[in-house]
Amino acid sequence: MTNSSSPDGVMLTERPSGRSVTTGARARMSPRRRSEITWALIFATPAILGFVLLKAMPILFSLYISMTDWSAVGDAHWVGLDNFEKMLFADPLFWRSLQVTAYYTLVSVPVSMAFAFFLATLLNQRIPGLGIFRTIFYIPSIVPIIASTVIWLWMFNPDFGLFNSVLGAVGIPKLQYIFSEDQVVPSLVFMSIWGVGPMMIIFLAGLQEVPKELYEAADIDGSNAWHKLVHITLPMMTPTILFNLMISMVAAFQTFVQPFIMTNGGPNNGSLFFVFWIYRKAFQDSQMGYASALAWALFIIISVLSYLIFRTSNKWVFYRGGDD
Amino acid sequence: MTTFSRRKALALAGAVALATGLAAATPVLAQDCEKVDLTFTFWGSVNEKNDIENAVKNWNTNNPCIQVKPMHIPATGTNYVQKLTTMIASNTAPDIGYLGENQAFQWATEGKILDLSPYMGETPDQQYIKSTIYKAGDTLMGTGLATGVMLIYYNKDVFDAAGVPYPPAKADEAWTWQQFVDNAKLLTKDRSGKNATDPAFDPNAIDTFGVTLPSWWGGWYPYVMSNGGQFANEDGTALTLNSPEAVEALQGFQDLIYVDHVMPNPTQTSSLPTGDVLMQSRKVAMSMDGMWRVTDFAKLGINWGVGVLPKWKTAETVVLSVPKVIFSQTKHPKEAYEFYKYISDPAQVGLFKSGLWAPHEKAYFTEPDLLKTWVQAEGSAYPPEAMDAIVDYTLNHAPQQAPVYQLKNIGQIMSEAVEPNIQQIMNNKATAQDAMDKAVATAQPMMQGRW
Repeated sequence: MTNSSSPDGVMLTERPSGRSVTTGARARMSPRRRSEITWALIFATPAILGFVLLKAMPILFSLYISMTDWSAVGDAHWVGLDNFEKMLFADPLFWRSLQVTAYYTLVSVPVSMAFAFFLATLLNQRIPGLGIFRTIFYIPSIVPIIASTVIWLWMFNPDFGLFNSVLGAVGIPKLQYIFSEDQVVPSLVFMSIWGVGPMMIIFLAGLQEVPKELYEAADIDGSNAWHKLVHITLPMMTPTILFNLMISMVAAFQTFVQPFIMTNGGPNNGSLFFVFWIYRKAFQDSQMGYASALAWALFIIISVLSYLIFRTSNKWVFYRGGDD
Repeated sequence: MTTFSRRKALALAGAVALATGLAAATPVLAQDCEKVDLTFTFWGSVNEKNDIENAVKNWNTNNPCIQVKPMHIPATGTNYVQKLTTMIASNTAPDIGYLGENQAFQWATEGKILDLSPYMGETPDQQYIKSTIYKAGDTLMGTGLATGVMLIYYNKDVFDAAGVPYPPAKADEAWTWQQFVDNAKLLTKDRSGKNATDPAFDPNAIDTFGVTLPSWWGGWYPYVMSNGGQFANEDGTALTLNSPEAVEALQGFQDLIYVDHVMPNPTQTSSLPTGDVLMQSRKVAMSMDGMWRVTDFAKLGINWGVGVLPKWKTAETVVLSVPKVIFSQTKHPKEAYEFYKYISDPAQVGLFKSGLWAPHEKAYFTEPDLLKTWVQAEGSAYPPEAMDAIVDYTLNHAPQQAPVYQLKNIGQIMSEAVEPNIQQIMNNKATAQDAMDKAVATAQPMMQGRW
């Protein structure tokens, strides 16, 4: 953050001693530009300080305690990479929580992206009451997640919940939803669709960026709606898709509220999401060191996945500006 | 009054204060001594909060030199622990506070909890109920804030309608497990009014359940003990929940749901209201729960009673408590200990009389004068049979301490090895034997011995 403004930064902070070094830069700059930069830095100081004190320092501190046995109340003892070794070789629940989280991510990300794209396409049509429909589909996202989770808890209820009542009415046997080890993750995926509002809005913005002349040209050439979707809309939307993919992948890996409010990680650890597992280690078992190690493991996993997605993105993402 | 007599300088002022009534509350007195400020953290419902805050207010009025600041921290999830962890890590620990058992033991070994041996003497078990004394190695953390025994609550009207005798209040007359199951069947009714002994009974359309038992360890461990089972071996190196005795008791638990059809399954339970409301609406005839629910039942306006748990071999129950500790960061251990005693005194805190807390000192279970401060107090919430089902039961029929008092690393053992497998039993996904074999194997690398 500070690096981007480094030439000016150097000049300002080193003014008393470093005069000869900075005169060149100074000469090229108008007084107005200089005062702008001064004020910019002054106004940015709270943000920079906030980042350093509230983000960067805790992040580095957690890296340190991930190599200790700190319990948060006692003394920390250096244990090197023991926590990471334990995670990989001696903690079955590490693999269990990773599996649950990966399963959820793998299913919920494509499903919710497809649904958000579908909704965005519908809401991109010229139909009466468009504003109302857009609002309706966005509203679930502004309901506080705790409140919506509690509502879903009720809808998932096997005995008198909404879903089983509907299924029962058409003669389909009752499901157990979040009360069954096998059905809990699919149920939560289903629930995640409810919150696609923000993703839908981003897709909608992307759709409106697609140049109209391309569609007009396609119309003249006699292509149908499917051709237009596959050959114009989707390629033009790939940057938006990439963005939504990254954001929703990271968010899915960080799922916390659902297990925390709805299932407590159960039944039989069937919804032991990774971040919930970190939380439990840190605040239930007071293993702050191990919890930090888990958090860093998650960071590494997400980083690697993001890197892979970015690396492959040049094969499928199309930027309108061209390659240069 | 003890603080007044402790301080010679205050004796005169105390007399004046007594004579002038309200004057005791004026800060004039505070100038005569060095004022000590203490912080006291606690959790609890709105009712508990009001009650505790009133008790603290009385203390502050009567002890101008020791001013206590009550700090209520809601205990939803791990909120309380989180807050306390932060306070201790930043060297701003409270002086006195409630504390969850897992944290109490762990923090005691980290030296964060004051050893109360110098204050309570070497033999606290002569004065206090065994299950309310918390000791981690050499550190005597002190006592719990109160006690609570596991009991059976029942709706008399439902029993009368089914013609079933009430669950006995005396431990000597406790039902056997088989009698318990048989009676529960008579009390369980489907929507067409048939009970669970009827061949035409429909287990998929149950209207009134015979019983509900909690699924946390307080709901099943008493039966394991009653059958002669144990949680872990002598030196705490292995769980023993897969012993024949333990498995028989746990299988009995599973059968209540899936064979006898007298109890709702966990999915049903999760969608039902709490035991007291269920009983009020006649959805359940008996409910096993802690003594602390007396306060809820008393408010329902139904015809209810309390009885002892059914037995396998011995009539046994478990007494629960919550550690109340003084943190070692306190600058005023002596003053803190005075308040420590005060806040568990039935004469000072209304929660004893209202049926949330039972005392933790043995004398309160035997001395007629002291019994009058809670269970036999005027306007107390307890039913008459509480003298047997709570007083005698707590004192004489809870010979063993719960595993949390004895086993190291119990938090992890419970949440990672025992509870997931207990859920398998309750969800009918595994037999008690298979589930407990798995629990014992899973717990093996976590075992760290006994305190």
